[in-house]
Amino acid sequence: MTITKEDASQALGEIEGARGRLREAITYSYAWPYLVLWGLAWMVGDVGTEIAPRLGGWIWPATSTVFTAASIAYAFAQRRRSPYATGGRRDWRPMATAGTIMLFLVILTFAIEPVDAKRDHSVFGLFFGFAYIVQGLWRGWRLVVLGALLTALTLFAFYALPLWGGYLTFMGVAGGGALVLGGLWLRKL
Amino acid sequence: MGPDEIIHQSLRLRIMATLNTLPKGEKLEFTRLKGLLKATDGNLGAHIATLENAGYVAVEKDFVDRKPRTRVSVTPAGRRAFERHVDYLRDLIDGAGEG
Repeated sequence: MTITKEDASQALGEIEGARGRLREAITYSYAWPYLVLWGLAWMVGDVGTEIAPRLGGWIWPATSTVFTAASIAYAFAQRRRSPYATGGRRDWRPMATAGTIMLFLVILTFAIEPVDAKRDHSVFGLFFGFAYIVQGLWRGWRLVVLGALLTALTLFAFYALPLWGGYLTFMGVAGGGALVLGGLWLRKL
Repeated sequence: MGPDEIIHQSLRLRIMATLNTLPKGEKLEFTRLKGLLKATDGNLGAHIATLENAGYVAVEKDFVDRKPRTRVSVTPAGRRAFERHVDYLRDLIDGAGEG
């Protein structure tokens, strides 16, 4: 069997391509349920706050608590195994990653003095937008698209809409909707 | 050491690359593998059979909710063979040997 350098280079390229596609598929299979779940949470939290401003201070903590519990319950129900692989040991890292991010956001919320409600709210949208972009650069282009969309929606709402004049509803419907649709799009792979 | 002629076929190479990317002990469903590699049932099945006959992959068949399920995993011999083949390809590019 004769293999030229060009053949070898092409073969190595095919190997990396195959590896990349599997990693991408595994990432999407882990991510999509939580994108859908937290997209719904976002809708409930923001639209609920705009509809019932008197309860504003309670809606997001309650929503976060309920959906965090739902995420944990889902994770245990699914035993955190990727549908792309069965028979191996449980992978604790996705749960640990999510927990770390949640902890960071909780600390951020309490550690930073609120100055401007719209600005403070937008920080979360931008944080997740850029987080998805960064993760997508390593794991899959669909996350880059989703992150860029979230970032764009957040920036548009921040500059174009007043806090109590549609900003929250827009963020809930468009931002939350983007996560839900994005999750369903990832599921298709 | 020369190339592994069983592994060095485009689809078999990609099958081995995919299965070797899984953590040890993990298996991949045939349908998922087919989707990842964009292969047909017949083509993928034939190449998996070749790799199985060589001892490089293991095929497990069972039923889930009365539906047949086929899962594929790489064997220890398959991992070693794949790594040797990749090393050969890299050495070839680096100019250490000729094919």
